[in-house]
Formats: sequence, structure tokens, C-alpha cells
Amino acid sequence: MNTDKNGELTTLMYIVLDGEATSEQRASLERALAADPAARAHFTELETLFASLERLPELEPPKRLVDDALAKVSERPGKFHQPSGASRVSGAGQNDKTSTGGIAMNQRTNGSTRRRTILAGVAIAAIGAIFVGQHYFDFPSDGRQVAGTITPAERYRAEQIKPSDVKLGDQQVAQLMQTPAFEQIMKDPQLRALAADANFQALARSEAFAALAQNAQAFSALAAHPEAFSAMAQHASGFQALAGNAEAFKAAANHADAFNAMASQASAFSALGQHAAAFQALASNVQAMQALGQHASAFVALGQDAAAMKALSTNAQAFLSHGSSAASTHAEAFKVMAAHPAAFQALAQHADAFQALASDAAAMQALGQHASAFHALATDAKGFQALSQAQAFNLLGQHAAAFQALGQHAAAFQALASNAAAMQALGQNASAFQALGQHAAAFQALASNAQAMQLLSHNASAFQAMAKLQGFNALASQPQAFAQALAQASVAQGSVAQGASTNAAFTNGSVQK
Amino acid sequence: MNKDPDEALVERCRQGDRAALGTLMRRYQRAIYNAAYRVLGNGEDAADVAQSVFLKVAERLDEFDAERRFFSWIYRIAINEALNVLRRKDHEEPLDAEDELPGAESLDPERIALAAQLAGRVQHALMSLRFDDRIVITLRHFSGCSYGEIATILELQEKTVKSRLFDARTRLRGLLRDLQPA
Repeated sequence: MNTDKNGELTTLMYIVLDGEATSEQRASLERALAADPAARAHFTELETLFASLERLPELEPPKRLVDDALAKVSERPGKFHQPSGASRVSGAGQNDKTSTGGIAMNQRTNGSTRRRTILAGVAIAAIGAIFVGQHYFDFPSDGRQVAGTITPAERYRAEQIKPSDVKLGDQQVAQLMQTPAFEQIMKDPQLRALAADANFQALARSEAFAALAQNAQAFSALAAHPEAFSAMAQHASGFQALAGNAEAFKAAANHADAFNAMASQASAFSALGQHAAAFQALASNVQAMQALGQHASAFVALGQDAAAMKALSTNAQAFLSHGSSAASTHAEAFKVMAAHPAAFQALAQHADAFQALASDAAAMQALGQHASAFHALATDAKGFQALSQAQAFNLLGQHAAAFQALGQHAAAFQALASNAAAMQALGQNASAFQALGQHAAAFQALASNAQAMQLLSHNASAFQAMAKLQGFNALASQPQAFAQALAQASVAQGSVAQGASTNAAFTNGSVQK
Repeated sequence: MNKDPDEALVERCRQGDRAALGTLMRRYQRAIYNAAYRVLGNGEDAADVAQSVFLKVAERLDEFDAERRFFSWIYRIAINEALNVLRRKDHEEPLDAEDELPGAESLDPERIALAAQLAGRVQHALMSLRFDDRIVITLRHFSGCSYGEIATILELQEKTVKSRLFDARTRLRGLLRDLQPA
């Protein structure tokens, strides 16, 4: 960098990335970056450093940390002392190492509770102040919505309103959310500009958002404005805060009414879907996905966005259970989705989106690991029919890696095989079979289902492909199914013998019974 | 002086309100535990520090200067407690990699490996820094404190905080130079 004398430019970069820069400092940095490629590279390096720190997970403190501390406090002389037996808290010791177990990984929520509380107040106060300023005093927006080229700078900045303006506690925040004034703000056409404001973004990562999520009416008001989501989503830091605030998001997802309110706003969801990183956060929340599955219109909007689907598909965690206790929950999520054929149909109609999903082997593998989920999916006749009849299913079949992943899960595949419409669609795709054929167990599951075999046999190309594969041995070990399929195939296509004759498995005697 | 959001709770605690003390502890347990973890690189030590901090808060609440912010006081205690742990051990513990893999069983192995690798790299790098460097990095990046807040906690001038952060980050960058942009 030829412009960084005495580290001044680097210092400026740090100040911007720390969110403590003034607008002049940000402008100054933007000019420097525009003029110097080396400076841009250096800034990117610093962003990477910050991002790597941001990505460290927030750890869950031991569950009994506070209870244990209170018990200790109660035992000691002083104002908190309680006579022996008065405390309901068991007394695991201070050095009880077992109490440190159960650490869980969470998304980091950017700062202490105290800070979040302040930001919540600042954000709400800022919303009100900006709204009042713009509407009643007619001062212009400072145009910061176009300052997004250095987005990390927005993280904690709250310049218009000083912390001294904060007067709201959590309860008051929640109450404010319920007021007509808040709704009016949310309905304001200038919300887009407002949402681009750092203070609004601060709201997204604050406890206020959790409070908001607890109020379906307020959340509905927000969800009615896709521009708000869109604006937030356009600011990496703002939306990342929204999507990356596990507590806020959890709060939202835990409130079915609130999340339903959002999911029922298809256009809002469309805006959300345009941002892969944000959607990844969504995709990792089963409850949110459940809510989503109940709203076909939201799913339609989502399905129109290949990038969103790609984000979903690359988030294997979205499809993974969290231990045996949650496995059923996960299956339930898929069941809910599968029980809404209109939603699934909407997805299936979007070949690009489905292609994005199908191209991700990890996602398919995760899906394949859940036989019950897949079963829920596969046994929903209307939903699966919608899928199987669509071009999307053919696209799925073109992704050998995804199908290979699926093929590793015989139980899941068995669920698939029991679905006639699905098998019919599958049968039309030879490449899918080639991928499947590398997994004997999956083939066995398939072969044990005569009906599925029958359906497959109508597709000569698929059968030919199948006959050339090592998995054919597994198939051949099911003479009844095979005989039935073979007979059917002979009648229907007359080409199976040709394919079979090229297969060593066919001639090794395993089917000569 | 801005109004301290913890003021009411602190006042109730001073009057012996045990429930208020519990609320205060719950409000800060995650922040203190995580800050301690990032400084010490060890979950058990972090839990010990957090508990010691809470006990000290309970014992010394009457000494707390109400003109100051509670958060800066509790963070200050936490830093001192973390330093005490390091002194007691007389060495800095290497990172226990297992601590970086909570809930590992629920994740895709490849993702676990990648996430753990990155987290381990970063935490190792942190642990390679001096205690002072770790403190400023932790307060800024993991506790979300502003320059001014860090200055208050560490009882330094803001410009000194900026300078320390600059130096700490320069050293951290050197240790993590090979990290690729996401």
C-alpha cells in the first residue's frame, strides 16, 4: 500500500470495521480503497480476520452455573446468606468440573447482554427519532443506505442517538412494539431507507428483535414490508445480525404466530430468499422450516430463487437431526412440509431452484439419513407426485453425487421405492440409476419392492443402466421381484435382455434359479 | 453519565434481594463465561472464573461505585480472576481441542472438521498472544465492547485502547495470515 503512512490507513480500516468511524472517516476510506488496489486487498485481509473471529461460536455456559453460584452465595455469611436447607439449589461446588459439561454451540450474538440491551433501546429510539425527523421536521436522510460498500462499519454504530437517550427497558421495548406508532413506522413507505440505517440494523441483532418476535402483531407489521427485509438483507452486517442472532431468530421461530406472520408474506420471504447467508441461518432452524412448510405462497417465492435454494441445500445442518430426541422433530418438519403439497408443488415447479438443492450431495445425504423424514416426504402422495412429475426430479437425477448419497441409505430409499409416482419418475433417468447402482443396500431395498420394480421396468434406458451396474447383484438376489420386472420389461420394451446380456452379474448364475 | 441499565438490579441486590442477584448473574453469565473462555482457552477454567466473579460480585457489591457502570466493574473482576487463574497455573494452557466441538455429534463430520479446524486455529492464535492482547481482542470481538467501554474496563485512555488493539491485531494477523477470505 503506497498510501498507508505510519499505519494510518490500517488504523482507519480498523475503526471502520469496528463500527466506530464517522461518516467522514468512512468516506475517506472509500476514497482510499477506490484509488489503491493494494489497500483494497489489505482491507479484504482485515475483513477476513474479523470474519474469522466473528465465526467463533458463542459457547453455552454450564447449565447450573448461576444456580451453583447462588448456592455458594447462600452458604456464605452476608446479606444473601440463607440458613442451611433454605436454599432450593443443590450445592455443586465451585470447582465441580462436571458442571462444565454440556457446552453447546450457538451462533454468537455479538456482545454482552448489557450491550444488547443498550442497542435495543438505541435502535428503538433511533427508529422513532428518524421517523419523527423525516416526517415532521423534513430533514433529509443522510443517504447512508448507499454507504454499504464497507458494510462492517455499520455493526455497532448508532450516531444519531447517543446511549444517553436510552430509556427503554426490555419490557418497554416489547410494549412499544405493540403500539399503533410502531405499526405506523413499519407501514411507512420510507421504511426501506429506514431499514438501511445502522440503528435499524442494530435492532435486528438486539433483544428488541426477540421482543418483536414475541409479538405476532408487531412482527406481522414488519413482515408486511418486504422492503424492510430486503434493505436489511442488502447490508451484510445488518442482515447477518438478524440472521446470525440465534436468540432473536430462535425467539422468532419459537413463536409460531409470529413466524407464520412472516412466512405468510410471500414477497417478504422472496426478499429474504435472495440472501444466501441469511437463508442459511433460517434453514438451520427446524421450527422455522416447519412454519415455512405451511405456507405455499412463501414456498413459491422461495422456489423462484435458485440462490436461496442453493443456500438451503448447502446447509446440511438444516436436514440433520440433533441427536435422537430431536430426530423425530426433524422428521416432523419434513412431514409438515410434505403434508403441504401445494408448497412442495411450488418448489418442484422451479427447476433451477431444485437443481440447486439437488446439486448438493451433503444436503441430500443429510436428507437420506432420515428415513422417517424421507418417508414422510415420499408417502405424501400429492406432494411427491408434484415433485416426481416435475422436471425438477429429472434434474435431481442428473446429480450423481446427490443420488449416491441417497443410495447409501437403504431405509430412506425403501420409502422412496414404495412411491409409485416417484419411482416412475426415477425410472426415466438412467444417470440416477448409475449413481444408485453403486450401493448394493439401496438396490436391495429397491429390489424387494415388486411394485417399484414393475414401474421401473417400463423404462428401458433405466433398466439398461441398472443392468450394467454392480448393484445388479443385489437386485438379482430378489428373484421374485426381478422375474416380475423382467417379464414386464420384456413386454413393455423388449430391450432389457440386451442390457442384461452385457452384464456380468446376469451371467454369474445368481439369478439362474 | 448515562443511566446504567443494571442500576435497579444492583440496588435491589444491595438490599439483599437474592432473586435480583440471580437475575444479574443470568444476565451476565454468557458474556462472562465466553470472555473467560476466549482468554483462557478452557471451558472448566472459564466456568470457574465465571463462578468466582459472581461470588465476588455478591461479596463486594457494597464496594461498587454506583457512579460507574456495573458492566465495566464485572468485566474488570472477570479479567482479574482470569489473570489469577493463569498465575495459579503458572503457564498458559494449550487449547483443549475438545472444547471447541460442543454438540459435535449433531453435525456433519466434514463441517465439524472444517469448523473445528478454523475455530481451533483462531483460538490457538489467540492463546499465542500475550494476555494483554487477548484481553483487548476478547473485549472488542467477543464481548462487543466499544473503544470507550474497553477504556473504562481497563482504566486506560481510548487512544491507548486503539493502539493496543492495533498491535494485538497485527500480531494476530501474522498468526492467521494464511486464512482465506470466506
